[in-house]
Amino acid sequence: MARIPLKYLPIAGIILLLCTIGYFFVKTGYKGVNSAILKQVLSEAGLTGKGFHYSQGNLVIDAEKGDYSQDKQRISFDNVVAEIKPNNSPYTMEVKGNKADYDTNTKVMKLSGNLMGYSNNGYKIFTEYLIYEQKDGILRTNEPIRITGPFFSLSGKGLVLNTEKETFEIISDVTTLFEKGL
Amino acid sequence: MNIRYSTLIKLILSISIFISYPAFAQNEALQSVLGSGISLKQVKANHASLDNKNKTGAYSGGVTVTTYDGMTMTCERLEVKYENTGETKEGNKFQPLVNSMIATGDIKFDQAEKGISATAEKVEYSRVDGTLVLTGSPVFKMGDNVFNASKITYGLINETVDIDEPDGIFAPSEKR
Repeated sequence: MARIPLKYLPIAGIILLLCTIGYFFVKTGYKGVNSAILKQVLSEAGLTGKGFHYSQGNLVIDAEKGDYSQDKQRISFDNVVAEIKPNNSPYTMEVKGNKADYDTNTKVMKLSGNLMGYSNNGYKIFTEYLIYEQKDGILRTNEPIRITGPFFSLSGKGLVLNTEKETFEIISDVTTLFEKGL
Repeated sequence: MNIRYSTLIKLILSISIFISYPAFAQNEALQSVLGSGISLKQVKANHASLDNKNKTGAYSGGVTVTTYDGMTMTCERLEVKYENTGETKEGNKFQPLVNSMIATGDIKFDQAEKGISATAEKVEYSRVDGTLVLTGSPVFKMGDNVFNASKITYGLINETVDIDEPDGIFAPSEKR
């Protein structure tokens, strides 16, 4: 093995530095290589594939498939079941849907496609799009919404549901049907 | 002058009937509207909110209420207070029970099938007291009978009516 003379050490340092810079260029700019590397790394770490499970505070997400974004800030889910367990309320909510996108920084989850929410007091929510703001425990949408339950059912457009304070608002066009005898 | 005299006669007749008959025609009419309680069927509104911890709900903006007995009420705002009784139904823990309701703003009752209508500015329903109180210049109409008052209190349990400062015309029916 040939010995490198000491005078070449600075050059070796520069080459090492260029390699480091090159690595970060690849990571941020070259999608083909980056995606492959990321998928390999995440796969090795068990962070992608079928049977994805994620939990953060009072939010538990199970999905058929989950993928981290390149910057690892967002996670995308397919065929998702998200369980929301409020800190200050006995009522939990489980939302099933086609897609979900969770931002690990802002703690905001966006659910879409054929959504069905089930609460443990017997009510169901149907809509096409929901945003869950985990920090405040708020579920909201501007889309048409339908809620059915054992004692009443309602439909309307737009929802703001505070899971911690146990309050909700239907923003417009509300129709409530009550069971007889309430 | 003749018109005023005629109206005065009717008013006197009307008041004397109120005094003479505890269960007078208006009572029967109100009773036919309300029965012995209120059973909400549908509420439509522009906006709705519910606070489950404080057990309150509210509808606002073009509120239309229909009951299972065919009565329709419109108002600007409807506030509801309820409680969870703890009774079970189909495995669910709580059954909400409406304790009180307050309707405000341009209230109109209508039960077209019986030719009955009423207007008021405020209606308060209390399940505990078993009363329905109409205030804000309430006016009640049934066919040709029209009367107004400063306050009308309908007792849902004993089916009684208390009318404060009654005023109006009353055409006795053929039955009477």
